Amino acid sequence: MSAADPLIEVRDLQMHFPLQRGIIFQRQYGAVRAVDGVSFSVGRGETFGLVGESGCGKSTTGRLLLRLLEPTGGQLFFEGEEITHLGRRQLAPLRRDAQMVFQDPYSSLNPRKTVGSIIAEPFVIHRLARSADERRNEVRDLMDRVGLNPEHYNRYPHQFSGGQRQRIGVARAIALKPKLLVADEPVSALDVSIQAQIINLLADLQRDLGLTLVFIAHDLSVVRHMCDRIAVMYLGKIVELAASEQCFAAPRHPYTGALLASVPVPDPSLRAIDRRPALTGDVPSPSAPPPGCRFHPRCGKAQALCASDEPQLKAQDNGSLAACHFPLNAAEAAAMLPRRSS
Amino acid sequence: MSALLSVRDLVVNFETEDGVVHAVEGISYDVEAGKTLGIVGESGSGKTVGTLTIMGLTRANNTKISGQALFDGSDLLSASEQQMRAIRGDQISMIFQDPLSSLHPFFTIGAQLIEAIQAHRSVSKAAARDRAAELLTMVGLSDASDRLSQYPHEFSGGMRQRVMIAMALSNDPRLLIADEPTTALDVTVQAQILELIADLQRLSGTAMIIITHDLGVVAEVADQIAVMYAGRIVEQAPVAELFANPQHPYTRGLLASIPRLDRDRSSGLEPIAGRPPSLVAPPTGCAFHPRCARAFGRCSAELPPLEPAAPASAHLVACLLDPAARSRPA
Repeated sequence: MSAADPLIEVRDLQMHFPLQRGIIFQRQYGAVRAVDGVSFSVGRGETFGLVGESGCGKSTTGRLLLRLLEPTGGQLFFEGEEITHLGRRQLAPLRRDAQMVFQDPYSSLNPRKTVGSIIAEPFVIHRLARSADERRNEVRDLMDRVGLNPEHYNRYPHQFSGGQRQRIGVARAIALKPKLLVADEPVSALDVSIQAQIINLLADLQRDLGLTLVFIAHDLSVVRHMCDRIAVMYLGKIVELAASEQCFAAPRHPYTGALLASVPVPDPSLRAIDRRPALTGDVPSPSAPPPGCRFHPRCGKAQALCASDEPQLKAQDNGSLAACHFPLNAAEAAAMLPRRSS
Repeated sequence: MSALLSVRDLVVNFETEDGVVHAVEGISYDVEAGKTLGIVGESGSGKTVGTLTIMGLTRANNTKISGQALFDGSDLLSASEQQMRAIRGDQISMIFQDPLSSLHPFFTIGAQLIEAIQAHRSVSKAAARDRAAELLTMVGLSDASDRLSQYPHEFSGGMRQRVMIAMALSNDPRLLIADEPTTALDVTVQAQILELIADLQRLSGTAMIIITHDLGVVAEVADQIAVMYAGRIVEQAPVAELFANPQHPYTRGLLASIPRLDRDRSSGLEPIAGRPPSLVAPPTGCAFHPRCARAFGRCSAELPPLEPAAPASAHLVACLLDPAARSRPA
């Protein structure tokens, strides 16, 4: 399933971080296969979700999309042009068009700079809005746009709360009117009552500015709320790629089903303890992934084939793509969902 | 039935350079034997400070504590440090959020478990070691006797939290306090740990206080829920009642501001405006009134008492709104 008018396209993307031993005579003895062959595309104006547990490669994928990392394999296209191995100077236009919002609003803002100069920095770096007056006006507009009081231009980050700091990070990210925004866990460091404010802000900006948003999160309910399409990752691979509603109403990969079955929902009558076939064990190490299907040691439906043959993403009965030899059927999927059967 | 732990009018203030921090402003609750109380709140609501104080872990020169915490009839707040040491880890034990920083990196899992057992029981090292292996098996770790000689870094996050649970249960405590026990864990591991805690509690009959910001987690394990805001309990009810019929505008706001997997995808979330108040200079009257869409004149002047939502109801709420008006949309 690929987007009609892709802004970014990823083909068999790999990011292997080498594991080295020795101080003087370094030799590589293995690699952490953080991202191990993922392919997808994201259409203009689309909100694309990357979900998975820690170590699944979702953040690394996000960083690759922005070329903050150079992939060790595969290809990466932005607006149809290959950017896989471009150098620093050639990447300058991408640096304007693609921006990031980080998880931790405390460590992603320089504590010694005023909010005004933090938000103005993109204009300085890219030599836009050259006069100080011009910059100040731009920054005030941006602060107003993200729901900050423009009069707080001269304050420092510590004078703001977590939610306000995240707004500063968002203002900085949209300053140059980027085409692509990658938000890596943008709300997970915030208090529950503040999360909704930032989610709504991102959704509004996405709609008003026509942004393409790649939303990375571990919280399935937030991802479902935000995204048009979702890729579920496990140990460096995409195991399911589907429209958001499809993915949450009718998961086909057993891992997606298990994730959904594990989410505690604020309704005591739907206690997951009564619902789930509990997933046992932990996620294996990405430096030594299991052979065949990477999920097979934890999968309730695994058979001999799963340990030897790696399944490829293929279309399922409901149009989703899932990489599984024995995908869930409708009844199995329904039993795992945290919903009241109607 | 008399409660195992009965907290009355607990107040905890910290004197700091910036002024007095009113962390806990008079909370009262009971925990019955074998039952689970869930305390829900955001950062700075006092949910952690309240329980740390009951454990005697906030005592310092700049801390002002008042009220009572009757555990089995004796007041923990007036117990000596020596008495508290005998109680902590034995009668009452605790599980913390971050299992990595709660385990000592230099000592084996076995050494740490054996220390926890021998601190309260005069048993031989061999007997303590057997008990430690038994505990690890109980929390679902395979090859328990080999695991005892491993170090914390050899364990995954979920396994470390299992070790912490084993350590907390090593002396068959009567009360277990779990402070955000699954927040640092992945969702599939969180599900395993919650299930483990529920199973063990059912077997041992231990009472539990679970502290969390996650409404889903308390819905999963708690019998009774207390919602805290700015150092006070604003609503308290049996779990089914609280989620079926939330009364306080803050509780209702929290429930409306989270996207939910058990409902149809909503078009928009309704965030709670503003942000949690300063604990140095909390708002007058009801601390929630500056963020409350339904606040009226009295809210900024009067402190609402925690009262039954209906006559003789177990559902308590601290709100000045007319009960009929609370559930109407603002």
